[in-house]
Amino acid sequence: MRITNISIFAWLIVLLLPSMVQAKEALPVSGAFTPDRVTAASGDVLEFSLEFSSTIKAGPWNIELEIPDGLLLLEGEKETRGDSLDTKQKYILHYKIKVLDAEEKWVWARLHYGDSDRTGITLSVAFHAVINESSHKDKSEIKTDKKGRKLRVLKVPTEK
Amino acid sequence: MEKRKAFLFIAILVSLFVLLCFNGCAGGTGDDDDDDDDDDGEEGEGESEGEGEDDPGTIISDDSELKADGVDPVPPLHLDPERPTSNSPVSVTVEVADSTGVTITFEGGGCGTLTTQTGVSPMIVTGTSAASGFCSIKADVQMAAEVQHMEASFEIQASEPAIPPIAIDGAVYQFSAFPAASGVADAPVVSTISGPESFINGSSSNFSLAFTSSRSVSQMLVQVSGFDGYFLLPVPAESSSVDFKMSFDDDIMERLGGEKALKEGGAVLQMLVSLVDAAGAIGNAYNWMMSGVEVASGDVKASISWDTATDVDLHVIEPDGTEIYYSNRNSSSGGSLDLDSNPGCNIDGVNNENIFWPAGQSPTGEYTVSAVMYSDCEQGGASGTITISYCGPDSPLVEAFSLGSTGSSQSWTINNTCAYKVSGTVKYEDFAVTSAGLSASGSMVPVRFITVQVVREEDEEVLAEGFTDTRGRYSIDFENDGESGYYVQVVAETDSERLKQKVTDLDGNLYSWRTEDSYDETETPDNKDINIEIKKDVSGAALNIWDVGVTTSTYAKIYGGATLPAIQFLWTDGQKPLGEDASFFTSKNKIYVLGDPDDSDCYDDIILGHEYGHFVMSAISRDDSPGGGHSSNEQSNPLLAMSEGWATFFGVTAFGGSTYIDTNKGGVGVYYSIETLPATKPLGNEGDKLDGNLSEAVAAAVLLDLFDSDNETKDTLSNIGVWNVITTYFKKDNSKFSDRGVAGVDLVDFLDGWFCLGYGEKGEDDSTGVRGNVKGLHKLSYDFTDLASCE
Repeated sequence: MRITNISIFAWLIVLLLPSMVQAKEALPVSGAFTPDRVTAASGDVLEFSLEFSSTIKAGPWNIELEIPDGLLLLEGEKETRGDSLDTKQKYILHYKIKVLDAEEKWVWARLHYGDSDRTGITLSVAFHAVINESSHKDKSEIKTDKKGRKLRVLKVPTEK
Repeated sequence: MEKRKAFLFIAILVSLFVLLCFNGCAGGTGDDDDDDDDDDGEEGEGESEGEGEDDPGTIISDDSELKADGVDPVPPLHLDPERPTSNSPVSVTVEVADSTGVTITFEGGGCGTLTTQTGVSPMIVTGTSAASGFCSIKADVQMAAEVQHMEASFEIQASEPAIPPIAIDGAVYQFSAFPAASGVADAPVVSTISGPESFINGSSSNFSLAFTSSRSVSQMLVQVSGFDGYFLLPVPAESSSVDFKMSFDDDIMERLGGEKALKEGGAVLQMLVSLVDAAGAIGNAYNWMMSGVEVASGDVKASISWDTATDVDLHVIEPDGTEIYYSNRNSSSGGSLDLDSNPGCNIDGVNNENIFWPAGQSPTGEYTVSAVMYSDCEQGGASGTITISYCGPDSPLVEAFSLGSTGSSQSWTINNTCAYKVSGTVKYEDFAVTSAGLSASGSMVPVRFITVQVVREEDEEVLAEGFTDTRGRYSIDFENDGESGYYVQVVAETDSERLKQKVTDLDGNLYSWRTEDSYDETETPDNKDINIEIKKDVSGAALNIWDVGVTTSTYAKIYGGATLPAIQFLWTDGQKPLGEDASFFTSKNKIYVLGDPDDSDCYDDIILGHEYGHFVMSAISRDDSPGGGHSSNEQSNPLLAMSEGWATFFGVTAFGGSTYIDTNKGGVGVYYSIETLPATKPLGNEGDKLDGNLSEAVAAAVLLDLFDSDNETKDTLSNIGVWNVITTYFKKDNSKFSDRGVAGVDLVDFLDGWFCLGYGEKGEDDSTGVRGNVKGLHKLSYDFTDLASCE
């Protein structure tokens, strides 16, 4: 019973947390870039979808796709352009990409748009999709010092 | 068992209720209007499916509806190069068809020789960037029926910061242009500065500044010719003079012009000194000049400086009893008096003396150092400063002294006993923030005030500890009674009077960096130039977070007056903190920094400064924001608008600018100036009500226009009282607080506090004073009700 109470309390804290923190301003454009599956073998064809929407009316926009070596874009444009972004629209782009080697790959989609105030500023947002993600080898080592502090230690070369 | 099930059921219901509430209300808009609900629906990635069912909107996919034209290839305002570097040529071009006139203005310490110009399109302004700092560029383009505003900005970072080779105790260095005099008739003016007229390298001197002012003086500003920026020294209220200590770096002669300057009559410190009164008025600058006299340095170095035309002598008794002074200038161990001033009252005006031992020659043991009034030359006495550098934990010893008439003296004892020393610099790779995103290449800049340890390799025992200075330099003396061999380690935590902060990963592990190599102190007792360069690939970004903490804590201390409690920054590269899509501050004095690969905030100085602003408000004031997601493009709950507006005001002004910039992997995600708000930021209060919702950007703009010295149409005020309202009127226990507007601290209360505390300047109409700012510029519904005075 006690365990249950504690777990419920912890759950409530997690739920309450977002409202207690003072967060930075939300980006006007949000979305996601997702493959139909996150692991693939060489020769597989993956379908990616890029979905985004805007909370502001914005000027002309374009999306640049950055595809690393080892992947081949079969369907969809590497660069897509539009006249304006509207707050009442949801944008979805589809891509078919062939996997040439089954290593970890990061695909980037970068959306640039002119702000609606025409101040000359181009605003941007980036999305990435990862396939065949490997567990990264961290260069750091966790140690406890004599004061009992946990340190994340990284080695650096020195210049003499 | 049944009881347990029932409890679980109720708990789940409560959880669902809370979850629904936060998805619907966490935008900070509470029970606000329909527009806000729409926006909330479009913001969250995870929630978009559910929201989409209620309001699917138009779905556009990759077909004929997308056209093959788009973003202008060259924006109408552009820089060449897009990301300027230190002291390099920059050109700014504005080209807009059908315009009839263009004015380009530049603001910030990084702008260098770029100056405001007016002309016609295409208009090109060329100049040379400064060594470091931010530069905001604004262009007003006159069209047939309107004026178009355009903006750009860049930041310059230098590996050797353009900080002058001096330090003023208690002052901070501001990387922005030296403020001009306000032109106010009764602004404070410097009368005299008393102290030595000469300086020597590696020493310190005390000065006393006299002034005339009708109001209490709040700050002293000192600009050194040839360097961008200026020192800002807070002055205690009601002071009748400003007493301060200035230190002169070891390499000051080299940095002031080197041998050439010395051959041409000596290095010169040319300075401008201004005073700021409690209302923010800046008086005319006072020209102050000191001449440099180069002396030698070594393992042990003792120097004195004093203020009057008297013959003060420096004496040092070394461990074997030998005394070095004016009539025994050299000892057999290598000690030497190389500067003797005002001998026999033959006044040369240098007022400094120096005794040193060359590197490797200073005897181990106790030294007695004395300042002796050989002759007061009928001046009555002298006050001065002694600086003793040696090998020991308290080095350098810097102390003030005061001598009376002829024959009086004062002595100090030091123990030059440590065996080993290691010194060098700590730098990290920083990436400049520009209006086009983060710079592609980084530059190595100093890590300030961080802990450096000497750690024995054998058992990881910390042998000694020190801190870096403003230029990232460290020098640590240590002994080792164990196995020889050590490495140097940098730890991102300090708990000193100056700074209480730490940077950890999201699991709470303190970031630390150790030298890959180890060193043998028995082979190299004085190990110099162990320079540690921490790049991005070894979590160097944690040190940018550290550096922002240094800048913002200093800024808060100067204006807020109080020492802040300890703060913890948490950041892990590639991770979202607690799954959130944002950086945020929590009431536990923790700032979680977004490390998302798409949008990391680790180099976003303004965003980090914004979150630090929340910490400052929470620590020394009062913050009633409900928190949660928000946007400056909409009118929000007044409590949230005040909290976020303050945080943005704090973040931009801490870095001497006025532009909010949030970069991401694509470029810049959010960019706006609170000095010239773009049309996307809604002005006024919703429904024109006193307690109506308002944009956080408008709240920030009101604070900035009250505070800044960059005044434009309808902005006529420059008053540091903004801080006083936050730190005194908003304080939780303030009995004079009159809670108007919505319940809790909002912009209405802030303006009430402004008048309650007597800052006044209401303005005759909507074009001047507070009225010009609040109503004329920002269309707010504040009612200017007369409240009881807090004074």
